[in-house]
Amino acid sequence: MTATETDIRRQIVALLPRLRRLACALCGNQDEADDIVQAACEKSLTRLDQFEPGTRLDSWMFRIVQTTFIDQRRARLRRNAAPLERVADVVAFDARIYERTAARADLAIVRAEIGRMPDEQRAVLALVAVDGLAYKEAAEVLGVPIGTVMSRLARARKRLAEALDGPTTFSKVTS
Amino acid sequence: MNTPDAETLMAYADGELDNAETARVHAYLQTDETARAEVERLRRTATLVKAAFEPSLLAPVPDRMIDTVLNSPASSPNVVPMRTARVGRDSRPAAQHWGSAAAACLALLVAGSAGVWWSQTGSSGDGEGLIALGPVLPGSALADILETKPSGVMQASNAAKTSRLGVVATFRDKSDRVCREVEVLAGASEHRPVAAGVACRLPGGGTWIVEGAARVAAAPEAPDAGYVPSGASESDALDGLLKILGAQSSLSPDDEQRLLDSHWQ
Repeated sequence: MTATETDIRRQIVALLPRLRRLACALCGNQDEADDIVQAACEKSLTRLDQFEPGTRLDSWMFRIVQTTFIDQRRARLRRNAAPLERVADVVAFDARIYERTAARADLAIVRAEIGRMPDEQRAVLALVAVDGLAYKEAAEVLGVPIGTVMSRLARARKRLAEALDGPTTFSKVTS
Repeated sequence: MNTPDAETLMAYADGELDNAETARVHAYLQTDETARAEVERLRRTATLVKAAFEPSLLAPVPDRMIDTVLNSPASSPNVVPMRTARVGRDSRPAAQHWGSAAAACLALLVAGSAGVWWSQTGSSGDGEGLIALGPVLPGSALADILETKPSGVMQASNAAKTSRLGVVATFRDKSDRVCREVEVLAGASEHRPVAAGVACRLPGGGTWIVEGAARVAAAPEAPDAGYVPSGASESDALDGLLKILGAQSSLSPDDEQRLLDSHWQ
């Protein structure tokens, strides 16, 4: 194992919390998220030679997590030949922390609504709102133009706002 | 300044605008209470989304994951052939090249997993020949399923009901064609896949083309009802094809229904 490779592996370990959070936002369930991240790590190690030093390792790993999520979802569809569970039904977070706070209901609404979004909106939301990537970085991870990231993100945010507060009153939203 | 559009307000709320634009939107917001409220709302949704996936809510990173990253070998024989098979194919439009896509898959299969055969002509037997490469015969059970049925609906593929056929997912490929993944199950009720494939709809017409099909090996009886031993190799084969096609995310049930309702327009 070369020094560079060892170094990349350590950096991937440091990224694991972010990768799991991203996978969790994508699939809504911690066990499944861990399976996705585990598979994504295995996949990344078979392709270490494709990683270009000097480029962002986090974007590279995010892309692998995102494609692994899509692959696993397809495989699951194939196995079950039935609609997937909605994320809202399978979210397995420890909700006790929020037991006595008013925020709990909002968070439940947010998670449920994220679960109902089309995959491409959820992916953008996970990258930008959950992980904090810039629009441009999210566009690179997903391989789409920045304008697409913005329109998907705007639709996702509008959905969330409406789920929380009812239909938006801002008149220019559809423009 | 004119009223900023929704995406500009969002970019402002997210700190994505450059200094000049930020200043312009900032000045505008002093004059428009509704837009101000919208920015507030955008920031609030962002905060909530972040909080909904707060890392401290997750269990600690499992040791096996760390161990995998640090210690597993750098390459695995399962993945290398897939990469080799894909060389030079990705840049190629799949639309008029279903023959070459199938050839690439064949290479993938020879180099990779066992248990699945790609069939040029279809084959006799328990429903396997239902998904033959090339244009789908109009009026056939497969054409009907592809054109009119939502994902998840399995129906008998012949009068004798010896097998069932259905779509498991709908997606767009890299040339934005609508494609559907189909599966043939043996018998009238059990979940035993015998064949699977991907068909894409030619733009403009009602013709579906089967881009690739895999026959699933007869597996020994499953040890329990929920487990399909042949699933993995079938998945590997289809995943290779999906990569060659440049498959995008599966459509949501709602989006799929809209396309069905509008006859794929």
